Amino acid sequence: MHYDPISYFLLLLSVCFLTSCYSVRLRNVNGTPQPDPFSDRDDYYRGMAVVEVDTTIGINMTSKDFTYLIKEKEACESGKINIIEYRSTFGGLLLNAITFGKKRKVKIKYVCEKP
Amino acid sequence: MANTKSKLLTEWDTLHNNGPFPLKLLYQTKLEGEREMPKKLDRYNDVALEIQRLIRESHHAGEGFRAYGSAWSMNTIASHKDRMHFNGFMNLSMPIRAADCHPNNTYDPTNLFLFECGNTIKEVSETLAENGKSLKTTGASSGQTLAGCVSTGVHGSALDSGSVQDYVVGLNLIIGPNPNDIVYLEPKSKPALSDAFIQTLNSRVIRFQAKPMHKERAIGLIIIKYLSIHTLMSRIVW
Repeated sequence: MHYDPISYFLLLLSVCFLTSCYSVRLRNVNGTPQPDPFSDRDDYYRGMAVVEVDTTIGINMTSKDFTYLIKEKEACESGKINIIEYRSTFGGLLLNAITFGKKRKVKIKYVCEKP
Repeated sequence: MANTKSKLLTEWDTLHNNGPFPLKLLYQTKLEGEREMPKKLDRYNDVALEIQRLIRESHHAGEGFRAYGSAWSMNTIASHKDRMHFNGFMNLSMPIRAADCHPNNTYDPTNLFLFECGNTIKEVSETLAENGKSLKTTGASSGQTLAGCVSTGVHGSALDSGSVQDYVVGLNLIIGPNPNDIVYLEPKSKPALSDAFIQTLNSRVIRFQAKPMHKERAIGLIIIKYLSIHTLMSRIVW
């Protein structure tokens, strides 16, 4: 039986990619998400005013947390959270590993409370 | 001043995708901020003027104008081919004080609340719960706006209690662009609000003879400003 190392590598990469990519969503039982009638989204957030944060943060080795301030703006008029979704990706894990935790990928979606 | 944004579209669909339906222009209006206009009644009256401005604008363009809330209705009447207005941000609510009730009021004032059209049933329930009250009947889902519920007669009923429209004891409607086109309707036999309070809503009061359809029951007041204006002639669709 012939074992092709490239196939194994690709298989391993696919498994890593698929298993490391997931989302966790927290949703308030109370309150109502801020609507957006102009939105053309067709996913879970259909008709909602979604704020997407997709950035890389710098964090030193001794720090264990990072605070991202949610400010009042058009897509978050109340400044209060109703839904928040954190997404972990393979790219994010890779970046974390390569930079020894100094750079962290942050992919978050959130929907604020209806004002 | 309440703020309106618009978007040019070619079609619009309901939440349950039973369209699409043709549409030219979609509006959304947000209330003036609490910090700029702290009093709820001021914001309530301010947004009414904005809606009248939009009706006037549509009228001058020779086009129709229709309100919608959560777009849950699956009927084709829920859309309009010209202009539609999303009123979900018009969600003010407040309890009615005993001092604001009509001298012949027979309702318990603590059961009377004013709700604006864009309140969802969930928001209504939360407001009522904060005051130790609840709707007598409710469905499993609560995303519909109050105006939608009242106009389509949904959301549960029981042997001794009807659905949401049965809790309404008065309606505050914008029926056109002119100052005299904001009206408050309630049965002459069961007046709830004092004329003085109705004046603070910048409304013309109409008390009509209503034939009772159900036996008497304690019901909460749900007043809705701007229910649904279907045509330029301000025909109310409900």
